[in-house]
Amino acid sequence: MKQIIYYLLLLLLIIQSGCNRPSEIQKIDGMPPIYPDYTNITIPYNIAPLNFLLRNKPQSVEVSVKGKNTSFVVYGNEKIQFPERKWRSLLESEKGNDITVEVTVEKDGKWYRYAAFKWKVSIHKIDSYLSYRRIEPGYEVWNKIQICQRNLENFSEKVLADNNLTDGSCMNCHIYNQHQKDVSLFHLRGKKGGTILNRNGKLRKLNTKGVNSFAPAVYGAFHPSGRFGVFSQNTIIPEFHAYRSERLEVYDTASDLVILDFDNNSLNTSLLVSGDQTLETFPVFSADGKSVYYCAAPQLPLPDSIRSLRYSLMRIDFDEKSGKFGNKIDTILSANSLQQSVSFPRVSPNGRFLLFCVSDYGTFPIWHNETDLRMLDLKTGGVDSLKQVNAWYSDSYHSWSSESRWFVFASKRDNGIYGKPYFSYIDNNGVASKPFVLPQKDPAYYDYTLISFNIPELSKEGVSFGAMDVEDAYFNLPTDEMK
Amino acid sequence: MKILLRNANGMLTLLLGVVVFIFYAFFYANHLHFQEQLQLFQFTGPYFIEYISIPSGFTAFLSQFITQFFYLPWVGPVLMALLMVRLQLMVKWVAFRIKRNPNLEPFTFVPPLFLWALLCDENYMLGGLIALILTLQLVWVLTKISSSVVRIISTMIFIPITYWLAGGTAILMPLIMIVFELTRPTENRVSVWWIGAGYLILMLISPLIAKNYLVLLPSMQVFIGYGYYRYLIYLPFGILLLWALTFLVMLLYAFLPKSVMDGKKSLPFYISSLFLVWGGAAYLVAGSYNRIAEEVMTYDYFIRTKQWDKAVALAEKDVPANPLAVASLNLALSQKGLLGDKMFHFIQNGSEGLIPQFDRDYLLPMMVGEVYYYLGLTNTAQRFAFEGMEAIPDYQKSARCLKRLAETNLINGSYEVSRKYLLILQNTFFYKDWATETLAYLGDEDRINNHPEWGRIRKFRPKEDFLFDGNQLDMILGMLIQQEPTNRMAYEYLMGYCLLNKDLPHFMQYVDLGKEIGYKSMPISYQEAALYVWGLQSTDLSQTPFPVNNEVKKRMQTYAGIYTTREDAQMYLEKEFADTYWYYFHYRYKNIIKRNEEFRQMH
Repeated sequence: MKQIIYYLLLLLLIIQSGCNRPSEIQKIDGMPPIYPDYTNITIPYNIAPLNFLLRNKPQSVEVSVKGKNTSFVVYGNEKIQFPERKWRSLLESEKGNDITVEVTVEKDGKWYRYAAFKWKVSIHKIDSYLSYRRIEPGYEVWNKIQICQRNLENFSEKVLADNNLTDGSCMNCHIYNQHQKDVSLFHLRGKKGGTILNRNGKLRKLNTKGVNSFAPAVYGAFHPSGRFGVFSQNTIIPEFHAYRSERLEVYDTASDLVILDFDNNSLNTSLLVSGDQTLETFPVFSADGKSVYYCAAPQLPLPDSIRSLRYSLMRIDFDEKSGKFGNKIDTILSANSLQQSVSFPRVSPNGRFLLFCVSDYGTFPIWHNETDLRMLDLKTGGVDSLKQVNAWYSDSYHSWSSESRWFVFASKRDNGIYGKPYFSYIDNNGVASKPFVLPQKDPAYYDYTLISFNIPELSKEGVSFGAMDVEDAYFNLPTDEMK
Repeated sequence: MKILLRNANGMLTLLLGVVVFIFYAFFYANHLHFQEQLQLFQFTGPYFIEYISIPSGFTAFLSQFITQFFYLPWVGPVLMALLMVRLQLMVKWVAFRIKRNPNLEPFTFVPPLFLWALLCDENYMLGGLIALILTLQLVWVLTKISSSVVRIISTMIFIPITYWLAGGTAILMPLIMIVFELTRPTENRVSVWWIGAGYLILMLISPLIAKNYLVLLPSMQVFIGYGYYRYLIYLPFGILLLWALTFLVMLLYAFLPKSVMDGKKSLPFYISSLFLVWGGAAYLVAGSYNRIAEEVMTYDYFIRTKQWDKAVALAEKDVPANPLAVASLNLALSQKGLLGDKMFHFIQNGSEGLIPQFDRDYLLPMMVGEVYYYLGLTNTAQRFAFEGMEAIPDYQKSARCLKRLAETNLINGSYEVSRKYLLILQNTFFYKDWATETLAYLGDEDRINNHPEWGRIRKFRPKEDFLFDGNQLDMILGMLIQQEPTNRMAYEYLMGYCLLNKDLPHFMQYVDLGKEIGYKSMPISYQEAALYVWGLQSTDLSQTPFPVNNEVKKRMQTYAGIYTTREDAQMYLEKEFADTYWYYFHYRYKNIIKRNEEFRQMH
């Protein structure tokens, strides 16, 4: 009896599905109202399924996906979730080709087909892992913070650090050396915190505030060798805007650059990049490791002169043998010429491009709605305004893929507050593509989450440590002092 | 005797329900409203899955489901009464499974009465109560299994399940089942101890496995549970004591010799147990009752539900003294247009009682944010709501804060953010209608501008940007009035700020800013302050720069006469002039700074 009922139900289900097949379809010229916007984008062949939903809440949806070699159809109600295996074989078979996607919806008993859009499948894969910080877009108070690592080829996510396990301490800036899992670091604040350096899965805890320093390390990057890191040390002050939708203003009252030698546990600086007259921040090594790019601004009375505070893009030599800054500083992009403030310079691994942010003033682009990305061609000196990449609201904090073909950045384009990771492709001509957001298994996820994603960083492989190791490091690891 | 006991015990259960109801309905109602606002229960799959993915998440989920109904007046007290009665009955039924003894029934009231005292602390949450009921319910089911083999195996299966559902409270399952097995007629006592050891090992292994393989949570939360106590980093001793007392009751039933209460001793034993338990409970509950917290919560409830009249009426009945209550009262007075006239009819604590400074707490920003909201400092109100929510120690979201964030973003024209919050509120039971109505406003500028509250606040917002500094409130308030001269609240808060700080020179400097407010006559306390200043400058008060009531002039003459001639003037003046600014100026706010610090530390 139970079996009969089961088969009857199954039959009903099949009939029901069959009843929801499109018929008497009316064409609509416009794009389907899908969220996230995955229309006409370039995607890596190893990306997880681009699940989406329809904003106009149809009764049924049919999505046909047609490549040169593979095609299939998926059905759903409001949400479309592609079967992972089918998706993977689709992208594998369509490398270098375009996939045409057609969305047909049933609304109020009628079927409508929207204009088709394309997915261009790049032959260049993206690094398989993305780490980011999950945090609410608050002001001074935080509760849950996690540093997570997401496998971009599926939906699995691993928690690398959770502040619930470390006395509620703040944590930030998980960065890799050369996109490798074996060398990475992040800062873990709090009473027993420090900079957690990962080398081949083994963790060390460093106190990056030297004897003569006024602050521990904040923003920084690894030298290609992995032995050194260049960091800024900042005294950071938050203030709060009273006007309209502006929220937070964060500035430094002091900031200098230091070089950390992880082998010798030492740090050094130079008078050229430290001192009271200038604010230096956001340092990063060049691809060949022979120089350091950073941002600098003349010291001004703050916060009164905050709107006049603009950072230029600078470069100073670096001598790997001595592990010290050189003697020559160049101004690469002058804030006075740009009439904008530069932040977060990031050099592509192939040394060709430098991505950076611009905002009207200041040094905290994530909370400036006008912040946009720019790309400097280090060969020609030309600056690409990345019109096809930038959107309304802040687009900032970017990092490159190991092959310099993709970059990821944090964008608040949806609503100005909640940031998400977006990916863009660089073609052979150095032109960036329309970005797309990190896909989620549930396409409604970004609607109901109250978490912001920030500091996205790509890596080729996943790190071997996890949140329990970090908990252990926080409570039990001794701290290495920097000389 | 048995019939008498049965009836008496039944009456006691009823009595428990009635007293709990009365307590929460008439003495502690706002503690329940307070709990409701500090969560955001959503009827969605992801929300449920998030909870059942952690130990004790299920009982936390259930407790939140129940707590959401505290939104409604009177429902909370009914639910609390029912839950306490349920707990007592579960304790009794489980105890009776061990050994039936009506004489001991007064002791079955120990856990619920103790929990009642515990819940007087607003940081103890309903999760502990739900977890205990669920655990006892499952224990009762296990004790009903007649086959000892099936019972033992079932217990072993249910220990880890109960741990996952109810958290550390599950420890009672192996403990009570050991006692239960010991009271069964058996020849092989040794095996009972071995089985008991097995139960306890299972109970210990469950959180260890959870901690090391299943969840990323601190040890305290894994071993104790979530949803019991709001501060996750502190060990909730009260909960441990609750478990111990519950187990003690079972031990009493199992091992207290019958000779203690047999025959003629029955009635005296019963009555003395009754007095011991209920007398102890009365003492505990009375000692745990937090009048100040309830007062603050009452004001907060009136403020956030815009019941200004009730806030003022409450203050007139029982003058509040602590800064948060005073700040709420002042807000209510301003919304009723009474701040200037009646401010000094109540105890004032300096400007901290007007707009308390930001603190990284959860309650204070939520309450103080209300002041900024109505002033038109939307961004500050938004920040306070956000920070207050971030500061909730158990990482819950707050429906109250989310609602305020939806409003401030709507007022600021950040419609997409507002939409995000409103869509989330649509997943709740009590906020979804408001969220649905509000969604219709998004993007409709005319409709928002014509809204009686949002339109007014929009008009009052700063017209130029500045960086907010809580130490320069007078400048900020002055700027608000200059940019929008009809912002009566900003004007009255500026005046109040100066008067409370006894800064009469600035008061006199700013008083003319209120010209466009449209007063029929200047508020009484401003007249009093101005008259005082003019009186110091000249003895001829017949001509004053703005009209002053004759009554005020007469009172000041009388006041001055006493103040200047009597050494013990304060004693006389307090009777007749405690409601004047002059009395505040001369006699109040001397030790207030120290008292506020003490209150903050206590809070």
